[in-house]
Amino acid sequence: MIAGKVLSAIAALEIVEAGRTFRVTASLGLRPLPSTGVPLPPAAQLLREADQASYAAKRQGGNQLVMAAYQ
Amino acid sequence: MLDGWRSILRSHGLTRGAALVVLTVLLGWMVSSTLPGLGHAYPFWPSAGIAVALVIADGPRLLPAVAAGSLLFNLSLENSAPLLAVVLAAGSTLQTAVAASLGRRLASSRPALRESREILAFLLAVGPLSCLIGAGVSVVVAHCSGALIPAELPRAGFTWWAGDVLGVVVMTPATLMLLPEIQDLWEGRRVKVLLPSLLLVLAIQLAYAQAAVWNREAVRLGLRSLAVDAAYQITSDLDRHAEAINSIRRYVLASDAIDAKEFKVFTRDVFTRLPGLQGLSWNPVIAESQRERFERQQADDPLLGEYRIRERGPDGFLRPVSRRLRYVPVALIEPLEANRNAVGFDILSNPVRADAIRKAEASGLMRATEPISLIQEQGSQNGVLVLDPVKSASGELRGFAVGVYRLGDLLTSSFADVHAERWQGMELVLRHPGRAGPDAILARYEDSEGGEGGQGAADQAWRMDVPIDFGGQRWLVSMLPSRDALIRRQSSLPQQLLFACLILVILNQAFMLLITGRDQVERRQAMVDRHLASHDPLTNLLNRRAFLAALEFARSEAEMKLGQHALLAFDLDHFKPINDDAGHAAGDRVLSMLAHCLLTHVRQDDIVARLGGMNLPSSCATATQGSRW
Repeated sequence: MIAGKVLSAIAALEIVEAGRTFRVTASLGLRPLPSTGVPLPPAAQLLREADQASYAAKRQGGNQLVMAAYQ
Repeated sequence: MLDGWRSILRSHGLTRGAALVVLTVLLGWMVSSTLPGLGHAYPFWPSAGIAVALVIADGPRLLPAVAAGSLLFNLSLENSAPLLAVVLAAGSTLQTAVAASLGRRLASSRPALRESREILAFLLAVGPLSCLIGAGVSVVVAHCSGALIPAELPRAGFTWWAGDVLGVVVMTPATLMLLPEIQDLWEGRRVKVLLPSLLLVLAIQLAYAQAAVWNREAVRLGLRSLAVDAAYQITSDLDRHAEAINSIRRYVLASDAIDAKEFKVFTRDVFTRLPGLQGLSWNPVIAESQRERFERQQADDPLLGEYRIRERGPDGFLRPVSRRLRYVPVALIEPLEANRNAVGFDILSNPVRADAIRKAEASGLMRATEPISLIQEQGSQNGVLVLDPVKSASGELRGFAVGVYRLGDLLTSSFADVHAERWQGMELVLRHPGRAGPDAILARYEDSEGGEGGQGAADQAWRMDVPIDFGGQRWLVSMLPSRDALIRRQSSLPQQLLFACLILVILNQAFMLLITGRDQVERRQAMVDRHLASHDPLTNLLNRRAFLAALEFARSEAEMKLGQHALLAFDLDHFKPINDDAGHAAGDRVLSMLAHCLLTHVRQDDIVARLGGMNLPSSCATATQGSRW
């Protein structure tokens, strides 16, 4: 829900710089940290998984959210 | 209280000016009613410092308020002269203007007094240097108005200066630190600077007051012992005189008939030895039945010539005595020439003298009259007769051996000896204890300086009265120093103390301003460093290192089932073309706007960070259980 709000907010942004207007979008990768008692990988690994998910989102055209694959 | 202060100080211009006027008058009253002053100089003058601070902050437009405050205060004083108040106000305004402009030049108009150069300039130039102006003006005013004599000026001038310097050194920082516009410069230092300096000032004022008390006490003791010396000098002379009077008594008892020539021989050297004695006489008791025979017998004496028993008539002139049961006439007197008027005068004819005769007769002891005007007096001195009753072996009263005094001459002979310089600057008078005002003064030592209550005389509180007993009369030997003598007798201990303490306060202020200033700078630098170490300088988001620490924390929280989190990685689409086409500035701006956008859309507890490179933030959203990302 927050991710969706952020995506639309970014897409709505108009950035005026040096007389030119830019619009940008973002690709998001989500890695949940569930509290189910399952041991989680170290922080660096979590970050990597989230990053890879965001690259996947970019490959799919950007401006969307992709869930990371994790055990 | 502090808040009230601040709200006054927050409002600029008119309100601040009005506050300054009111403070100047109120603090002036407070100080002048609690601290020991010298003339109008007080050892602590806080409004001097407050005025400097406000003029530094607000500029010369506050100077009229400085002038008005000083003027109002000086006019409110007892016996103030408008002209003097105007001059004093001009002096303190000029001083404030100079101090403030020095302060602005050497420090700044927003002085934080943090750096050593700024602190030294403030403590040495703004305080001690500019305060010379006010002290100088006050000395000139005090001198010209005659409020102080020249000997008092150095101490009064110094005290004025020291009081103003203390005021500036302590109260200027104290006021500056409360000014809202430069509040941040004094953050965390106020108490550390204010408390020690105010405590020091309090201690100094107590010590100064104590030193002033000691000083007065020492002077009082010195004067007291000098007055006792003077009384002793007179009583020892009177004792020697009594011895001479007593010798007349023994002489009369020893010889059957005395004539003037024999009397002259007997008393010849007495008057050179006892210059304070105006005369010695023999006054027999003559019954009315013996009067004519006595008068004839005296008239036969070749030295006396014509002799009648006389009294003073209502017109003041001498006339033959009216008929009474008995008479106590002056039969013989020496030195004859100086006292010829008194020959034949019946001392019983006068009530004051008769009173002493009665007392001497009743007690059988030497008795003095109340102060009288002597028959032989040509000037205006008070005189006194001392009567020693002469009784024959059978107890019959034969007459009186009499000592004659002019009281002024008595004082002169007693005090004008080789040590006369010790009375220098002292007014010595003989006083009647039962009378008040000018009537009380029986005689004055002629060489003594200053007139009673005159311009040069010190306050009557410094008068030392020492009682002396003389022939049943009690008189006071009274000594009043001139103001000049009083100052010369006072030590400058309070001023020395004040000077030492002034240096102490300046050192303390320098020290406390410096270390609290340095602390503040270091504390702020540390805060900046800490921020830089954990934040990305462009977007002001957390950097990678800080974010990994936060992520680690979130991970362990999730493992311990304390909360559910999610990690959101974030990469901008098509960012490289912006950077390449529009330049890095545009790229940077895009990034910081994005950062701002992200921060406004995540929840309070969410952590947003920039991990570096092109790709922007990863967000570590701390989602609570059940909520959706």
